[in-house]
Amino acid sequence: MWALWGLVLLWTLPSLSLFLNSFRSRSDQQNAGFWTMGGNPGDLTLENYQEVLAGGGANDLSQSLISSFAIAIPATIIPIAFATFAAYGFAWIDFKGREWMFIATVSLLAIPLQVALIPLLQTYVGGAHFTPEIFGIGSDKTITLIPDLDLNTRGGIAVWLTHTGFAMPFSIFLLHNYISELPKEVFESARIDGASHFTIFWRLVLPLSIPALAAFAIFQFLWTWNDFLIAVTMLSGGNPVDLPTTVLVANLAGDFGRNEHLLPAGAFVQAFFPLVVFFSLQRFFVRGLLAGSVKG
Amino acid sequence: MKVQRDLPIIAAILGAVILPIVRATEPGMSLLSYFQWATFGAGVLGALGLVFTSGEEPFWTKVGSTIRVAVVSVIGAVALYYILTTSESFDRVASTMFVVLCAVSIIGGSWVISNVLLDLAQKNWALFSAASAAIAAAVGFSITRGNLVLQSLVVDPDPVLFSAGGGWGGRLEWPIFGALLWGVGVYAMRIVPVQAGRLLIGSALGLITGWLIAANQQPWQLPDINWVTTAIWTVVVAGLLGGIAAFRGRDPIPSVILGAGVGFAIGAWLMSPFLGAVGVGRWASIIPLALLGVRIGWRQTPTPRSLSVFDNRARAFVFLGPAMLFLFSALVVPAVATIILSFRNRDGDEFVGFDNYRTFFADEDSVDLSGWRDLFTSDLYSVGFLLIGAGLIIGLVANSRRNRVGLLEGSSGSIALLAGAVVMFAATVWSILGERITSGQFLSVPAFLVILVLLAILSLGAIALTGKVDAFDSFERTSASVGSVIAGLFLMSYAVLSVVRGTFFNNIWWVITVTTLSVTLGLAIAALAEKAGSTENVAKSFIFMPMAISFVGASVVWRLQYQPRFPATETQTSVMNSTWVELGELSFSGWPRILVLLVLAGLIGLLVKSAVGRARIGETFAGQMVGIVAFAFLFFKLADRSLGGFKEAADGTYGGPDVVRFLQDAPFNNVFMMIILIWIQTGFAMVIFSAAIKAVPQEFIEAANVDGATESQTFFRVIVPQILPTIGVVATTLIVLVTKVFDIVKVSTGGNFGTNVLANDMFEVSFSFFNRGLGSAIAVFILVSVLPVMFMNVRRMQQERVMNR
Repeated sequence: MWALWGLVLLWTLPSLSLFLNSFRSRSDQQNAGFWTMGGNPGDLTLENYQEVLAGGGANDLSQSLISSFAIAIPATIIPIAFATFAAYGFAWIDFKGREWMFIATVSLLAIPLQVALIPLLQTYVGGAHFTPEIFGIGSDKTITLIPDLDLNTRGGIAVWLTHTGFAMPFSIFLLHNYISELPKEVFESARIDGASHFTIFWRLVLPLSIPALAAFAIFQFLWTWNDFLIAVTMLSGGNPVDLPTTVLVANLAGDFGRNEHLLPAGAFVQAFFPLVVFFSLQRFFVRGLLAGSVKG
Repeated sequence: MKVQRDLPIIAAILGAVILPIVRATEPGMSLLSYFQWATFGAGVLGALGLVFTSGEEPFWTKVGSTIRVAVVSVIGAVALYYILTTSESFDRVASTMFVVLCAVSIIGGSWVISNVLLDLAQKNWALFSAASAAIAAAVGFSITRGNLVLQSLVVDPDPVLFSAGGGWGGRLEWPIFGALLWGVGVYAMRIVPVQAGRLLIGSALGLITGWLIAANQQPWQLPDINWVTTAIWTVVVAGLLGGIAAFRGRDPIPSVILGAGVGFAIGAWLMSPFLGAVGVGRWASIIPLALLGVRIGWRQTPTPRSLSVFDNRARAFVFLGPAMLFLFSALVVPAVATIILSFRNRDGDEFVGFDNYRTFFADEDSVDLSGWRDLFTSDLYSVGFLLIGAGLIIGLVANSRRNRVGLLEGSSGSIALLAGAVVMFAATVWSILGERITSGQFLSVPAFLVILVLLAILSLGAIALTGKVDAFDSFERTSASVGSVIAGLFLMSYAVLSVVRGTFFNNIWWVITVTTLSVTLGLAIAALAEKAGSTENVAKSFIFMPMAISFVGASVVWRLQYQPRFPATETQTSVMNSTWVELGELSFSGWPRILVLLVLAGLIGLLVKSAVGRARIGETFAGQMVGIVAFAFLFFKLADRSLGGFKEAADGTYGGPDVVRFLQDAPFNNVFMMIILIWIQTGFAMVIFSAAIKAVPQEFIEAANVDGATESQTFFRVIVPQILPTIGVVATTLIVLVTKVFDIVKVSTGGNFGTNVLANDMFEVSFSFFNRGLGSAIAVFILVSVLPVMFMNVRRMQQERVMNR
């Protein structure tokens, strides 16, 4: 038993030291380890948080918190909708090629984001245009297939689209696991009563799948909130206000220790909402993890 | 309770009304910003309403949910206050919500409309046909209008095909007309019971549309039809489609009609010159469209059976379409584009074959074998060999004792492995003693590669030990034998990976370390927590928590643990360096050192006693062994006055503290970054293993107990085999994740100090040095590395789906 609690202590110590350090002044942090605190509560200070949340300037995370929400919320809602449709389609609509399409979809799970990054960025920056040369002239007339998304002012849209695309395989897999396990009799009797797929989906499947949807929503929220790669490639050239918290904390960590004392507070602010979601909805989160890997 | 159900809606409406009014006094409010305010208010209040009414029971009946609601409300209120007091932030939030709402309504709206249309198809085929024809016509007419509906929003408001009417009215009148024409026309066609009548109406629709298009075209847009070519194309495509239909056992005539239309369009528009006369050119529009109309008219009113087939297909399209669209546009197409780009130069305008791949592997930063000589003198290498050898001998001896057979009887596999290990070790010792390695006489780089291959074979053989292979039948698999072999292999891989350097090997190192340790620790914690009783979930929560923290955040957390301060005489503030310096002081202290040595000796004694006790009853004592080795290591280091960080003065006494730059000192800085990922991912492994262990049928465990199995035997021989598939799932998931590791390296070291990994390299090359060709090549290489895992997953899934039938 001591082994388990030893490990728990080992696992918690890093986050605990971060949390305690975030309440210590710059000089305190630089001159002594966190274990020397205590005894004198007057040493604790909120000035790090003040600077990180309302300091203005490059270290102020308040705008980036909004940006993080602006990225995470749509990038959670949109994939859920699409994936639920698709999961139902794969589970209960009978059509040719269903099997291989499903396996192909889920096997895309392993596709690393890096593989799509360069062409995606090219498309988002310039858009995709088609110049109908067949008119002989017309080289100045183009048909826009995909508009230029203008990453400088509307970067959020590009980030949503990317998150949505990359969420598809996992979300379909997870929701399909759940929706395909719903009792078959329910569907059969509904079909006999003349209900269409639309009605069944809307009146039966959606209400029954709320736990799975919640599980996936938590996943997707944590994943999009904590994402760094997509944000830093697509948004770092644009308006600094649009950068999410991860990028700002990474910048803070990368400025050669000038703001070392703000890092604990910054990291805690960055992690605050995921931790709230995690602790309040842990049950759903675990359920989602399990649906993705363990049968039964 | 009715009120409760409607609360979110009421709240949303209130929000939509109140917030614009509150803000109406502000100067410069445009209509759009009123919309944004309304959206915002509706969203916030509606969401709060939802929170309060979620679940079947009123929220106040459960304490837990009350707390949750309270927390959410407080956070919401603070956020609301904060947003409302900073106007600029508010505008961003409101406009974002507005865009989201638009996107969601468009998506949801078109999805619902498609479904309603398909519902309609079951009840009233004629109406369904008319409605879908109207929608298709509206889309088609908008496109012929010069893509204006799209372009006016984005690029260029000039009309391409039509000159009539600017503005929204001009843009809309044409599609609306098209929708009406085809909607009414197709409805009429569907209520005519005679096929000839339907054909007539269809061709008339096509004729009118074609004539209208031609009449609105400029002369330079009309083709000068080359009749011979066009006729050939018409016949060829018609024949092709008709042939396909006949081959599939369907009625060929509709396909022939459609094919003729398509063929005519290709011949007339693509294979003929432009600037034709109006009289000739208009046939290019009229004939294909008339044929299309005939094709539509040909279709019989469907029977109930064909209607249900149609319904399934159309629904599949509606339900899967959006997801597939995103999969293709965000994953499949870009991935293919990246593969193509990887064969092109840095700007993507010239084909360069495999040059990018060659550049990557020829680069010293990617693959650096220059330090290979150090392998043979490294402690890790020797200890690894010794452990493998010891493990093999233990296994063989244990087997010969238990089964009373000769030591080397019938165990070709393990003997070959043992011989291989002994020969390689002897060769190493011999060449070190003869200083052949350091002088470069004994081995060249190719010979070193041969050794690497041999090592790989040895490893595979040793891994096979743990499986069911006949050649290893006489190898007793216990924690001492298999455990030593695996530990030896692990050390050996570290020995190799700490001397051969570069991005490529760093990635391999990450995969080996993080996957192995996360799985092992996760399994161990899951097993330990199983016995923790009521505190199980608390303990698991703490281990699991890092999962919620971003990789960036976790890197910051651990940086705090590693950070050294210079000069080393300063007070160290990080846990790791402080401990390290303290240990250095301890090494040179007087009686505290003696005291610690005594304590360590006592601990070792206790562990030895416990290990012997467990060995007697046949229990595993791997944990005790780990403890003994660790404490003995500390003991001897301390006894030798070489534990911890210190500088030695000239006379061999304590010359002050010394620190470790955990994230800068190569090559083991890599390992200290891997620890960050292990810290995060162990929780994931633990949760899944924990559930899998709970799912093992209780009868199996009871049966093992009845047979007198010890606790560890039950675990390793009953539970582990049962959850083996789950271990596979977790391991593959981790391998895919680790192969892509980026954030931690980027934030901790930026890929400097010999810590670069593929994903970071790809990022730097593509977005800092703008070499898209090389960047794509590295990305493709990452993809190729995870392909085997992908295939394994697909195979497993197919088996599962077959089993579920």
